[in-house]
Amino acid sequence: MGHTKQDSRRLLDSVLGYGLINEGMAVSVSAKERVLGFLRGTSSSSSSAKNGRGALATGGLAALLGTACCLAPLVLVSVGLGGAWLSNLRALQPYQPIFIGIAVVALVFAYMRIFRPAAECRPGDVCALPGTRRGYKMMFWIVVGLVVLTLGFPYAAPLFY
Amino acid sequence: MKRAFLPTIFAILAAFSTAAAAAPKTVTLSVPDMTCSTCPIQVKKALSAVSGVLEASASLETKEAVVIYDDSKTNVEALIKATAGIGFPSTVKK
Repeated sequence: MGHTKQDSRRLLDSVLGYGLINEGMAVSVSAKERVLGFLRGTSSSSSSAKNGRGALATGGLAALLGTACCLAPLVLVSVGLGGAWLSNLRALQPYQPIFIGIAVVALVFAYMRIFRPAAECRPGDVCALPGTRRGYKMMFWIVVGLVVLTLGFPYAAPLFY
Repeated sequence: MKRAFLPTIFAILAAFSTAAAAAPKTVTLSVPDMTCSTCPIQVKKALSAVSGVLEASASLETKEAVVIYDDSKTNVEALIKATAGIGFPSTVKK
């Protein structure tokens, strides 16, 4: 028959909406979600949400490890918390490109989950509720800023020597 | 009053003479562990925090730090201790 996914969605809307309009949006949304999920054969919304959060967490952790060798010691010394143990952090320096690489890849995945168009978001996703979505967006940009700082600082550093 | 006169004069003269003797000295420290891009900034901050240091700078290429300090207020040992205190052992460049 040549039905696209969008067509199926619209057909189901009319079917489910007809009987459920008086029962409130919440019920129709969850019923539609279950039917669509079954038709799509996709995983449940909670695992998709987990992917988004996991990607952002991985990106954040990798970005933090990327700063551990060079930026973090600078911050610590500036506030007076330096110590001889800082030389241990320098041991992470050879791995810094790996950490930043992991962070960038994880952030790409996180971007795809968090910045989805609202129409594709399902309840429970990281992008579903506007409030939580804003929170995740903010965390995302903070981690991106950290990565940019780590990548760019070596070029600005000589100004401070 | 008369008894305190001469000692007071001597005290004032002595104070002036120490001020005159506090000449700025320059020392170059070799800091081989300054390998990362922000390391020279850390070393510079640590050295500048030592009281008596007038100016400090560090270079990533030469792995050296040049310090101008007031030798009546601090000494080279204190500078070396300051860099070692943030994880950068240093020695005086010969």
